[in-house]
Amino acid sequence: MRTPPCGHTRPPDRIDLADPDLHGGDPHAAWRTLRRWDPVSWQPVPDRSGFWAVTRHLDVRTVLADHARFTSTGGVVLSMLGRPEPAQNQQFAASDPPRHGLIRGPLQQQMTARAVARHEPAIRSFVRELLGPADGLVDFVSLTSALPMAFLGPLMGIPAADWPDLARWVSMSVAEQDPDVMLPGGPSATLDRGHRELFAYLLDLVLSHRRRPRGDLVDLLGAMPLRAGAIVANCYSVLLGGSAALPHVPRAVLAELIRTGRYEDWARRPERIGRAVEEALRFSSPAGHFMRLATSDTTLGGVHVAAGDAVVVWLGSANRDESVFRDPDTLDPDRHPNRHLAFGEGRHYCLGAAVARLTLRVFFEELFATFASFEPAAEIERVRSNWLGGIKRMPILAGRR
Amino acid sequence: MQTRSELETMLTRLWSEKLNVTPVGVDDDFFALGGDSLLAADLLMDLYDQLGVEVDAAVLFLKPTIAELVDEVLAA
Repeated sequence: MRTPPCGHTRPPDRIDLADPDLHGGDPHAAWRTLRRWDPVSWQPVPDRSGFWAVTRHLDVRTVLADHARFTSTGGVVLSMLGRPEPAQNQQFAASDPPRHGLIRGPLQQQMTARAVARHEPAIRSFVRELLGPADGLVDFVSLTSALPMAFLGPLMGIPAADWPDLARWVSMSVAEQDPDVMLPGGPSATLDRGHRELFAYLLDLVLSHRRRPRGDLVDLLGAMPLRAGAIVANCYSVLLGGSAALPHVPRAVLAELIRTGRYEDWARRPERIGRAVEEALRFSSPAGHFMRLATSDTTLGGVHVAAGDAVVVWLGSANRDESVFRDPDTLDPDRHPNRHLAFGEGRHYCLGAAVARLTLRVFFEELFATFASFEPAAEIERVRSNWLGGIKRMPILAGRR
Repeated sequence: MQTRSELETMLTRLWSEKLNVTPVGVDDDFFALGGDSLLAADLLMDLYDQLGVEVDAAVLFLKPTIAELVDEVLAA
């Protein structure tokens, strides 16, 4: 049994951050309470011990930056809690330095802002095609779901026709508790199926790259001195990292702009799009958490953490930390500085951050240029997942310029 | 081209090697025997290298028995 940290005058009501229903509603109230009263909070999980939930910006940064104290080798998402990580030291996401850098380094060179800039024309024409036919009643979720294909085509050689299947398998792999994708066998069976479908697809993709190299990330991974399973596991990281979270950024932002009547404010100032994209990332934070395991007995935010304990940092909470961001729940396109953690921090900082920023900038530019107004048409529905924070249904009325 | 029984013998040996499990039956589930997705990818790649044929990877990942895999290889 853990004792709560000292200094508490009023312990919070029981908050269960692993509960997907909490995230399918509004997790911000729970995070606000934890930041204030229990910023490093022990969360028991039936049959799987539990984890420390870290909700303050400073503590989240500490955990993510200190790979010696908090390792990625034991799995990095809550669905892996208490399970062996088969990709340990095989996949950059599940490795620590120096192993991590050996795999990630060559990929990183292709993913800098300078390297991805050449994809801008292709990304823009893809976005124009996405938005092209939209008029009147549309589901903004359907409209944005293929957005990752703007760069996954050029970066992984994935044909556009494969996207509907991939999108479903990606959802099964990151939001296995959402009823839209959950199989009758339950969350675990859903996660398993999603993984296996993606692994099979990606193994075939690696082989097709061997027959016909494209000079992309899959070729780079395929040429590394790694076993076949590791090559596929890294392709899996790139695909999930690139596709699961990104479409949720414009959804959360447009929903808020409609709610507050500020769409035209944003649309009228394309010259300040850079800061607005950072604020969109902070406000939406679709990648909800990352897990690490403590490598030794240590303290975090004044709390004793034992060797082997799971430590889960909540990025969406850190990005609303009132000690770092003034009016954290306000979407402010001029916010500066904006030290958000939507892409994480430290060595595991999102590999695709530059291409995500580019794609979001292009998407917002095209959205603002194409549409004069949006009206809500029905209730918004949120994803039921403790990892993926976002919207899965968003019917709106779109008025073109 | 190998016969069904030659392929079964070869695959049984390959599975035992990858999974460190004996004996392996032709209807045993690769994942139930302790296999994971990385090992399944390794196994398929070894199989392709040894036989010179490729099958749809989804067979091993979704119908993970030697019997199903042999059917696919014979049809390839």
